[in-house]
Amino acid sequence: MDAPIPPAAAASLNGFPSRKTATALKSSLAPVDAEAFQTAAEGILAAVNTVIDGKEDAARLVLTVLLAEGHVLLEDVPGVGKTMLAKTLARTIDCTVSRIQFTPDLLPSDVTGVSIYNQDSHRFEFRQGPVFANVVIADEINRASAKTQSALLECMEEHQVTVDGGTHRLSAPFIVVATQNPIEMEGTYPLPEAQRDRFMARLSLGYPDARSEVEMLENHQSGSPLESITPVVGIREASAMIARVRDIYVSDAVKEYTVSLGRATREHPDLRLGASPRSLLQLLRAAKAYAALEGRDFVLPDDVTGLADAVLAHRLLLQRKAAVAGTTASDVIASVIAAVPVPRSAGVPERLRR
Amino acid sequence: MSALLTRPEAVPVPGRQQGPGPGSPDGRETANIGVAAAGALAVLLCALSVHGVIEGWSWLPPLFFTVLVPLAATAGARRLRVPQSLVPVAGMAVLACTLTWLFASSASILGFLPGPGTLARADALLAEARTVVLTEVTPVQPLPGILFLCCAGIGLVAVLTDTLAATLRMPATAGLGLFAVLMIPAVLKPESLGAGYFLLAAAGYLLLLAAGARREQLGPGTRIPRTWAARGTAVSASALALALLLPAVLPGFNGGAFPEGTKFNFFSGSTGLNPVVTLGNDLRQPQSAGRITYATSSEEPVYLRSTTLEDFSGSRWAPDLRADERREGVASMTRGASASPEGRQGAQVVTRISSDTYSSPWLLAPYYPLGVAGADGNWSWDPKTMTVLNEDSDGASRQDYQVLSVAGEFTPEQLAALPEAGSTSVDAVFTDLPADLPENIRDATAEAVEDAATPYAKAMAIQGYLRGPQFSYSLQAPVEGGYDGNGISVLSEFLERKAGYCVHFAAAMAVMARQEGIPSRMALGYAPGQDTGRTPDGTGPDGQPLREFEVDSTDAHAWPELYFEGAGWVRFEPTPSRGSVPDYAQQQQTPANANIRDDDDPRLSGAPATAPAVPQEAPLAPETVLEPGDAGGTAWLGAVLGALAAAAAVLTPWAMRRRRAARRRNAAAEGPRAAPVWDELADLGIDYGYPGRTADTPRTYARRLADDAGFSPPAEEALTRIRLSYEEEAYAGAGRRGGRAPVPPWGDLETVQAELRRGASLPRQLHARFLPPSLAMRFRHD
Repeated sequence: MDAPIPPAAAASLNGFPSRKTATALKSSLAPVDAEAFQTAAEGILAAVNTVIDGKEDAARLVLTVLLAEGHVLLEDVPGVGKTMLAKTLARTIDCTVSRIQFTPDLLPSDVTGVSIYNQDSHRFEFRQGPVFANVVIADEINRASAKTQSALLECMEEHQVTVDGGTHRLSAPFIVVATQNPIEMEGTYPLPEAQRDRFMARLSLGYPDARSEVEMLENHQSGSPLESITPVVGIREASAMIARVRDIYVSDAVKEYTVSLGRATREHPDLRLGASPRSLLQLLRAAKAYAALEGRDFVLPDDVTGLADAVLAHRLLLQRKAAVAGTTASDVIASVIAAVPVPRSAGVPERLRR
Repeated sequence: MSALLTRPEAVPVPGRQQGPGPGSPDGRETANIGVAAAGALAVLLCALSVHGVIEGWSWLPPLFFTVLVPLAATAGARRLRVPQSLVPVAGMAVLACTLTWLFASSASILGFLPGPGTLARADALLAEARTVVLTEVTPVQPLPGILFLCCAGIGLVAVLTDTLAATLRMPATAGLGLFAVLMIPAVLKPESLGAGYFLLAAAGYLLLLAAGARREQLGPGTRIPRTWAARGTAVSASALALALLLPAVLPGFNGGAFPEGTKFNFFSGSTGLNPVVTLGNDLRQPQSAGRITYATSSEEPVYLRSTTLEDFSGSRWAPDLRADERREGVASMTRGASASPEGRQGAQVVTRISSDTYSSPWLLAPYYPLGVAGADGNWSWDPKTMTVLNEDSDGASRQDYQVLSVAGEFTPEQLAALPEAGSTSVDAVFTDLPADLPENIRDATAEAVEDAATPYAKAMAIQGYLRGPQFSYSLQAPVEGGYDGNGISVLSEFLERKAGYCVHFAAAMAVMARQEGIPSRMALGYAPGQDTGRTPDGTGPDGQPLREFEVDSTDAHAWPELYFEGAGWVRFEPTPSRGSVPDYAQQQQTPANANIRDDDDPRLSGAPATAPAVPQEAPLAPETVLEPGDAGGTAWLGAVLGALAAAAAVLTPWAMRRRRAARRRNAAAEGPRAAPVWDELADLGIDYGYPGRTADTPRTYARRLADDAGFSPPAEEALTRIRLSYEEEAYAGAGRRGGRAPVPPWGDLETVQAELRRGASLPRQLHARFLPPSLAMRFRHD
């Protein structure tokens, strides 16, 4: 059940409790070569960019999370294209997509599925819920009750559904793209800290710039652009790309650097809660996916620093004093990045590292 | 350090969040007060070294006032936000008031405001100080004039230091003022500054630097990081150790602790009013100065006399001008002279003297002068002492003149037959002794004279006693023993220690002779110098050929002259190993002295025939401490070594930096590896003012470097190539795959270097080349 933790990641996080990772890829899948990977990735991004104008970085980040087998939380005001982004990405991959609109009366079984008595066979049959898809779009996740939220979160973490004593595996790849509206908070159940930790990355799209917005108005007048999207890769190719990401090399120096960043957040005076070991693992995984998207087969410290804000910011808890002073988690991460020295590879010894 | 030498930017480094930053007015004021206090302390610590130049410690309290009150005023002015340019003005005004209050209270308005009378008083004080400076030897007495000079000078230095360190924020430059204070003892004290005072002064300066650095780099209120303090301590300790050790190992440095090298010859050219003051210094100088040549027709060695010392009372002896006795007209000096050369039947001698660099108000002449011709200036002569003085205070320094003199020709028998001098034969000044004559001088006289009966026998006994084996000639012993100089107490000390030089021997003999009733005086001038081998044109009065000699500061000498009734003033020579003993004063009965062999002084033996080609390599007299030629050699060597050391010091950083680059180039080519190339790039960035931060990744650093330095596209491409191959090597797991990343050619680095150089100003380029900051970065960790 437990896929082996990639050796590089395990070595990087020596001393951290080994924990279950949820991957269910068939080992027979051969990783794609670099060129095919690059072509596929560029194809996906190009397709996404035809729909979502001026949000290349966000699209790339979501794809990074997808390739790193994580889940992403899109947090932004209504109408900037959160759902559109999720749907577009899902459509570029030839895979099953389901969308759950979270409402206060949504029940856990509405997410996971229910056992129904089949009168023909006189047996209970499990009817799969919407979570049984490769891409699950959980819209306005904070509107559902905590019970329903945790049902989804269990799926996200375990990649399986347990109903009436039976365990059902989810499909692979499996990514949850949850959206959350931070403005309208009345009658919502904000995700608790522990559950936010399950999302690999949180990002907000923000408004597009003026030129992109004009283009959007021009392009989207007649019908949904989603209609024109055709899948770029199939499910097998997607899995092969994920396999390739797991083979990206991480040097000891980068592992040390990641750990140093995490430790620095834990010791930071402005923070009540620093980055967890799980978050570091996810940060490194995301960095690997990002490096692969950049066409490299090794991780640079820059990959780690570039993703640190997206991966870590939603997990950090500020001290009340710092929060009152207007400090944000992103500020803290920026200051940590500016302070933690970048180590040099042991294989490249030289006294000056500047 | 460079930030302390040059004035830093008005806005200090941003980004210091903790504590009130140096930019905040409150913080800056506190910091400025700290720097000003450190400056005051540094000046006071430096001023402590004046002890020894001025006797005792009584000068210290007024000095405290003159340093602290003006500095308190400047600090207050800063506190009151007086415009920066007016702060030193306030300091100067308060300094003037403080000096007025201390020295001219009665001649001022309200006791401290300078009035019209104050200037006159200051002028009088300065005149007094001038006299003391010219006539006294250190340590001088703390007379008001000297105190005024000292306080005014150091007060000025204090205001200057304060202005540089606190107002202009250049504490390192403020060291100049402190250095000026240190120059006083370094030049005036025979033993120079001394390690203790040097360390005190250095401690003051370091404190000032630390206060300045703290203000610039940390701001007040923050704790000094321990590493920072430790590094500062290590650097200053090693610099101090170097300053203390270097003079010991480098030739040409004879000044001891303070590395001033060969002492400046302030007095060699102009010997001043009081040759006694400078005689010891002249003799101790490794280099000769004040060269005088003279050609004489005398067969005997000629002593050139400049002045005499008769008055042995008082704590300091100085030649008396005896202005009342002086007469005009030196062409003929025989008319009515009381000390007529009645005993002098010797041949007349012509001496032509030309002084090159020697200048003194006293005219050099052999004894007994009958007339002087050719000397420029308004000369007067004293019939009692036969000294010739220029009445013009600013007489020409170079003199060329001829003296006609008569040498005394006495035989021991003649002298032995002379009676004691009558009480009226000479003025009282030649016989008086100080009332408080120390007991040990009396004892020494009694021991020396024993049962000698006639004046001549007594004189010979005293001379024999002083030339005896228990006395030794030493230029350094008085300095080390603290009795250098003159005065009755010095004399007493000399007779205890039994080591000294001509001033001590001559004074001892003169005083001891007076105790035995022989009128005496001490003559100052030059011992016979060295035969140059030349025979100038002209002849003596009887057709003898002239022989040329030359003397310089190392021949400076003092000797006693004793008065014998019927013979006049007769020269004796109690100083062992210097000068020549006249025939009549030779000690026949003392074979113990044979080993001294004064007259074998090789410098006198040169007959014209044996022209010394290399005059200076004659064997040294046993006790001669410093030989001019020797010192000249080492000085030359020292100068060359110093120049080499300076050149090496300037070029060392450049060479080290180049060597490092060459090593990296080799390492990069050998590997082939990209890391050395990257390291060199990082160092170049540091050199040209674009230092990396420890939190920089190669990518962020390269981007910032290209942006800040405004790289052109080709240079940026070269930079990218270097960066990519370094990233690959550093983070892709070297050797993980079969193929290695292509190592960037060194040419890429040179492209980047040329680009950096193109964008840098000339000072920046020179700085990067000859004082590369990357060298210092090795020792930094922040």
